Amino acid sequence: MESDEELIKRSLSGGSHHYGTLIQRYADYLFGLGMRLTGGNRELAEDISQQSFLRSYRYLKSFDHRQPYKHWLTGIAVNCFKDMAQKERRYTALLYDVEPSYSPHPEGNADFFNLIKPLTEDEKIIFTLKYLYEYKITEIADFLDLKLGTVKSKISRALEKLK
Amino acid sequence: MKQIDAIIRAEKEVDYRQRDKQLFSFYTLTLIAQENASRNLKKMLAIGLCLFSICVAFLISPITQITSDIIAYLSAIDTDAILTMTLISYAATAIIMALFKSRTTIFR
Repeated sequence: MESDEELIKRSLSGGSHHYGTLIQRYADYLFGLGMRLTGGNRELAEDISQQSFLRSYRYLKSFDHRQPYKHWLTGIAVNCFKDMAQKERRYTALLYDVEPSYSPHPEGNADFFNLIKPLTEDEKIIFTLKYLYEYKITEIADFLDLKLGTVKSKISRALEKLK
Repeated sequence: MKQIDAIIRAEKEVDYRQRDKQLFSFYTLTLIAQENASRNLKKMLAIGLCLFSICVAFLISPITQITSDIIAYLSAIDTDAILTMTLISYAATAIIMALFKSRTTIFR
């Protein structure tokens, strides 16, 4: 099996079709992350994973080979989620003016989605990445471009909210 | 806290899967190709526009020079002299034609 680095090199030199293997390798991972962050909204989760792959390909030249591709992709996905949530907020605000019956169709583990429901976007991301994906706080800070102290305080705030 | 741990443990066991990974991959690659094509087209258009403006800049400067030269030349022309020259040349042509005609009648 070819490594991620090899596939990236091939994608950069030989065209986008080599990137297909990378997409297939991480499609489920990104979809799962999207599902957890969006509270089980399949459409949004698919959008997030697709946007993440598109962005990742766009900036593939700037990929730092010292870090795993999966980490880099996670950072992109998390930022895609934040962008999408911002857009969605605007969209739902507009919808509520006209059609208040709008609601997503959640799929998956409802307990978990209900658990993280009261959290803010950043808190949701940090909580999910730390407790489900077991990323280190330094890595999460890197993904979100936040200071270590900010991440720690957001974690404790999230835990307080959940208690 | 124990309840939260249990929910997290249960969530870790959930396996989320894309509906059709191959189709998803194909569609994403199509979008990438489309994005690449539009980027290339924009690049080509930008290069074309640059070349066109460079050509126009090169062409415009001699054209203005030529037109200003023509205008200067035309404004400097003496119309009386042209008229007299025209009359003289027409008269000379008529005389020559008459001479040729008389010559042909002589030879016959």
